[in-house]
Amino acid sequence: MNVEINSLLEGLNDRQREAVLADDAPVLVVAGPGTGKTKTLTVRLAYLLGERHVAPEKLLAVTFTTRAAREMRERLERLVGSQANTVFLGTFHSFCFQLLRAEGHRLDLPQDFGVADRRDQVTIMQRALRRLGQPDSRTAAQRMLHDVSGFRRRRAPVDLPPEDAGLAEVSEAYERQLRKCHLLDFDELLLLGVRLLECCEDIRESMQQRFTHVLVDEYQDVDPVQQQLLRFLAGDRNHLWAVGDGDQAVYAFRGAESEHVLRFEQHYPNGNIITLEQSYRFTPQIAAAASQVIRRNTSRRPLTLNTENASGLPVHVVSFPDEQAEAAWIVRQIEECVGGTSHYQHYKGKVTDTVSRREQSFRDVAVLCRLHALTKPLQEALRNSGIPHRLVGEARFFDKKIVKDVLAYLRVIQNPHDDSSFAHVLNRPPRGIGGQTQAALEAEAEQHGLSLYATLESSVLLSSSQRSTARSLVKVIEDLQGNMEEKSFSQFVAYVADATGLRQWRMDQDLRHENDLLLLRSIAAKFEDVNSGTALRQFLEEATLAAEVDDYDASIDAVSLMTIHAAKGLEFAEVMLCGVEEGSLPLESGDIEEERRLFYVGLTRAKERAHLLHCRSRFVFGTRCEREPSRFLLECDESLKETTVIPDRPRRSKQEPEQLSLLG
Amino acid sequence: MSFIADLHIHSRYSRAVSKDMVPESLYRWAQLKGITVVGTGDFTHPAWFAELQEKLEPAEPGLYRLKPEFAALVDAEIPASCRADVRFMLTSEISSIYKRHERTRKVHNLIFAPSFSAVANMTDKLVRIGNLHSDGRPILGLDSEDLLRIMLERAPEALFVPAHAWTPHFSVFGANSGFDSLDECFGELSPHIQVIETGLSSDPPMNWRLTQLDGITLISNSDAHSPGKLGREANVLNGDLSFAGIKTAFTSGDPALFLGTIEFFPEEGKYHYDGHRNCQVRLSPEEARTRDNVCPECGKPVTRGVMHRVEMLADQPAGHRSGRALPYWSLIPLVELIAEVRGAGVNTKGVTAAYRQLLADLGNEFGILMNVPIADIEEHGGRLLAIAIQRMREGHVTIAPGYDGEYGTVCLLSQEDRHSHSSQTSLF
Repeated sequence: MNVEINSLLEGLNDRQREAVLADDAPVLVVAGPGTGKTKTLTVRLAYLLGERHVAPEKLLAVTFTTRAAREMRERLERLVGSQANTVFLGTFHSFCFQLLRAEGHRLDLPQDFGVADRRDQVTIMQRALRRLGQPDSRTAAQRMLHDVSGFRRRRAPVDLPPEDAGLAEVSEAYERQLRKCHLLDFDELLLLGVRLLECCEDIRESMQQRFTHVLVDEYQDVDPVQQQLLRFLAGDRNHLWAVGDGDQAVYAFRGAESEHVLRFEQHYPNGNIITLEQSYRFTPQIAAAASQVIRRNTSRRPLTLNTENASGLPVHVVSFPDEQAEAAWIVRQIEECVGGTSHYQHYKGKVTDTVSRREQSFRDVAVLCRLHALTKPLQEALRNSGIPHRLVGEARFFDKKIVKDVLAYLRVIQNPHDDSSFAHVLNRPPRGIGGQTQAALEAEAEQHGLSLYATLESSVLLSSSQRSTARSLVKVIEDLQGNMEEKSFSQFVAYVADATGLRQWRMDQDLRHENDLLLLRSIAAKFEDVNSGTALRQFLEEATLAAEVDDYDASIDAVSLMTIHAAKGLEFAEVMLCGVEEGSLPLESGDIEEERRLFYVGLTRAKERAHLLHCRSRFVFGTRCEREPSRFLLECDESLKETTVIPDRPRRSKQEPEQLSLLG
Repeated sequence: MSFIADLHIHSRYSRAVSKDMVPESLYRWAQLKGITVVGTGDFTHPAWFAELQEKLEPAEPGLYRLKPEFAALVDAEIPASCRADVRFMLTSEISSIYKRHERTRKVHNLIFAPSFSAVANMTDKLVRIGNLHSDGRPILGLDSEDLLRIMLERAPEALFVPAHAWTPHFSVFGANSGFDSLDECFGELSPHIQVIETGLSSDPPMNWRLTQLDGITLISNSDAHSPGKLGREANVLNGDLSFAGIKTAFTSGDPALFLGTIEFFPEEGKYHYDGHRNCQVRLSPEEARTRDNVCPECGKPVTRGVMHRVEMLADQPAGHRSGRALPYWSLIPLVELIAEVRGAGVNTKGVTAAYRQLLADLGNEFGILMNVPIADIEEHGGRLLAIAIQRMREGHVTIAPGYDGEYGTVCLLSQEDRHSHSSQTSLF
């Protein structure tokens, strides 16, 4: 055996090695948190390349996030060098995107289609609803998008007779509108990818020939559509090697079914199942506590975490009077982790002395929660503290106001007939073209089957001043199109914000927009090696395909504030899991086993120390409610826990004699 | 012509800073103190940066002046005896908190920049790393070496200076979260560190005891959080009044260009000795060492002061002079002197009024502290003040050293002095 491969294998434990060396029967590797899942997968790829001499082009490895794909490629590069570049390593979405860009014409898709982001989807759904004469408010559109998405996933992969004719009609109208703008939405990328493979045997055949080995990360999160895609790709002869953990399946709401992890043997009677239980991530206390809780779930594969890591502190349970106290405590803990952030804290004796320092940096700490809504007081407290932190998951960077504005202009520059983007820029900054005029313009465009952009110049609806405004907007866009090649791409992005008046307008509202703009510019700088047209296309693609969980950038040294969902796949020295209460973890409406998995995922993000926080009262939807600690806290042994109770704030007694005497 | 520069200050956008730290006040107080070049501080803060762009205009290369329309608003409040030109230099302090060699490090660094565009080039990058909004002195999870690298890449003509290099909690040599050498902190970029700020609790002779600082120029600034504290430490320069001129004076340490520094008596600084503020325990380094650095009151380790830390790292005996040794003047702020003479608090009305009157009569504060003949001081400020200033100039000062965040207390006058001269305090 090749020496390098040999030394790689020596770094693995027995189970991991078994998984790497598995023969070509379908393999499911059940990998608990911190058990070396990614490592095993990458070494498997290296083994296939180096020892089994599989050509790199024949390997297809799919992940759920571009972050995971990037990490895996970096690791693989370190193992096998440039061979890693020709392995297809990407997300389900990016695979389908490329497939459809190449072969989509077989489904009558335009060659240059773009991908609709959430904002596009809502506007387009509103338009579809309007056409159908249905209520077209934003909320209605958002609700309908949710229903249509569920409907399309259920319907897939085979066209069942629609259970709901109404949804089918809306779905169709919505798709028509999308297509008019040369757009696909996220669901469609997968659905149409599957459809393409389903109806075009030759493409399916050539894909199966091309990829002899299909490897899948996070197998538990594969939904039925993705499942179908995998089946088409792997076919009967190709080799499926999947790694996942049913206990970490937390995407039931997206239609993922961890059933296929449970029933792997049924699907693949000749399949092989290998379980990784030895974790390298956390202390024995965390391993034991997490295992005790997750054991309560009934539908799961047996897996008990163990570790040879050094013993640590017990899991720290903290009880607070309310969310303000919780937020203040968290800030204080973070300061303790780094040993104080200001002279003032030292002066006031607010940080523990040097003996008990924890020697962490900001990036070693994460605050996790079930729902973002719970973190409002904490966000405020962190902002006031000046502690570097970032919100991951919500208010995605690409959803920030000025960023969305600039992106819309860039989309229009790329394709002026992208109505949804054009509608966005039309009155941003304000140009005196109000909502009514815009609606009338849209109707007119609709009537003539033209794009908004094409309608604008000829429209009879506009007053003469509006027409000259419209003309100047068209002029600005044309100028920008002409200007693109003269500047580096990042300069161009900044120039767009200036030339359109966006920057000035947003800055007048809030100086913080400047930050976002600078950040956008610096992201744009990554695309400068190619010509501007290509840069623009790649940049917009990345902006659209960046999924929720991709916001996390490990190179930035800041405390992370994120949902448990967004923290999947990450690890931190110290984790504070907040709102561990009945009603927020588990959520009242949640499936209890899924909620327990979320708790498990949250707890197992911690390497050294886990703090499980609950409040005895919390402000929820406008009312102050009494809260009970989560049942999950009771599901692990007392011996593994250490509890701190922060007492209620002292209430001022109602009768203060001094005051009374003053009044008297 | 020589001039005084105080380049490390904070704006009202920094934590625990007076609301009065605005360009107009800096302009006014620089004149009262006798400072020609004052740092803007906080250039990373977007609102402060916007305010600076609005209110300042270019003067000599790399320096700025307050636009006349803003200057006019405060000119009336400046006694004719003090009026002088004031220049601004764009400066900022960044608090880096990060892990290096498996330990949490907390280092404050200063950056002096020659132009708004150089600043913008740097903040362009820093904005991606942390929140520049919530504090004028932002906390970034950024290694000092990386911060220096960013500066070298984006504003190579700017100057990087480790701030108050000895304070225990937040500095390059700090006892609690600093390093033992500049090399350890800045790695391969350490040759770019040519200047360090000594901070209030250390004076040049303490720094001369480290061979590793032989090629380094020591500068001093006030780190003022309110206008009245401007110039409590500063630099006396003699070169070209321009950014490049000042930078050259600093990096070369040429005694013809850099005449020396104005210093606090280091004992007055908050972290000179060891001790525990809450236990009211003050220990000299020797005393602390004999007690194994443990507080006799609470039994926990004491906060090690600057003196102790210097002794840990020093490889030369006390009294050794480094190759770059420049002259220095140890001064005490004039209000503190007046307050002592009057036996009143520094912020009392009487002290403030006396301070203003003295400036109106004798000119700016540095002039009074350093140059005005003692006889003139006696004439306008009374015998006791004259004695106090004379003793200060001669270095005859008794100080109970500061420790663990508590300022040291100065004593220049004895009961005897007060007794024999009290009748002669004209103005006081």
